[in-house]
Amino acid sequence: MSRFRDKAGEFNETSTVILGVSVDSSWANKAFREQLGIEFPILSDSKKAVARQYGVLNEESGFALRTTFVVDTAGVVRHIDQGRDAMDPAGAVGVCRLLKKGQ
Amino acid sequence: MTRRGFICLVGALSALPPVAIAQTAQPAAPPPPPPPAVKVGEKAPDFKLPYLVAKADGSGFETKQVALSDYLGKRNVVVAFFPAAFSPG
Repeated sequence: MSRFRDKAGEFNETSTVILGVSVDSSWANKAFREQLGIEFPILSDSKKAVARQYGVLNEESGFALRTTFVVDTAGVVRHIDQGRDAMDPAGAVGVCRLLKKGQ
Repeated sequence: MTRRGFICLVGALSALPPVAIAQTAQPAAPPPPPPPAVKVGEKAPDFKLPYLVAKADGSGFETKQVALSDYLGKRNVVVAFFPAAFSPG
């Protein structure tokens, strides 16, 4: 999440909201945000229902697979990064810039 | 190790095809994750999930609910799933 923190300004320039999601408790995510100085929300999917619905829950470990979805203002998924690609938000920033141009 | 034993070992190693050495030297790459159920071009399923925010009066924290649909017609949203708090990345 630190790389999303570092790109928060660039996302903001494209009128994009970042929502981190993990299966941790609200308190664990609050501590994580404070430690990294993250200002965007990190939401708690403690029942794992959202990760499961999106198909990004590792059922064996119970953790979410690292996956980024870029959703446009109409609620449509425009871009997905998985695994290693999802570590770096640069691709998502690029997509958000294009979306901003088209809006 | 005797000199003769050493020579035999070197001989055995050099007889291995280079591909075999390369394979044993590097751990196998993990298999790619399965594709998500939600695809590009589809509606992102709505959700509503909590996080904690500091109270305005500084007396602690309160739970705030955020829904993806809060931003419909207003903002693009990057939904970033990650494995666990305090995991790198």
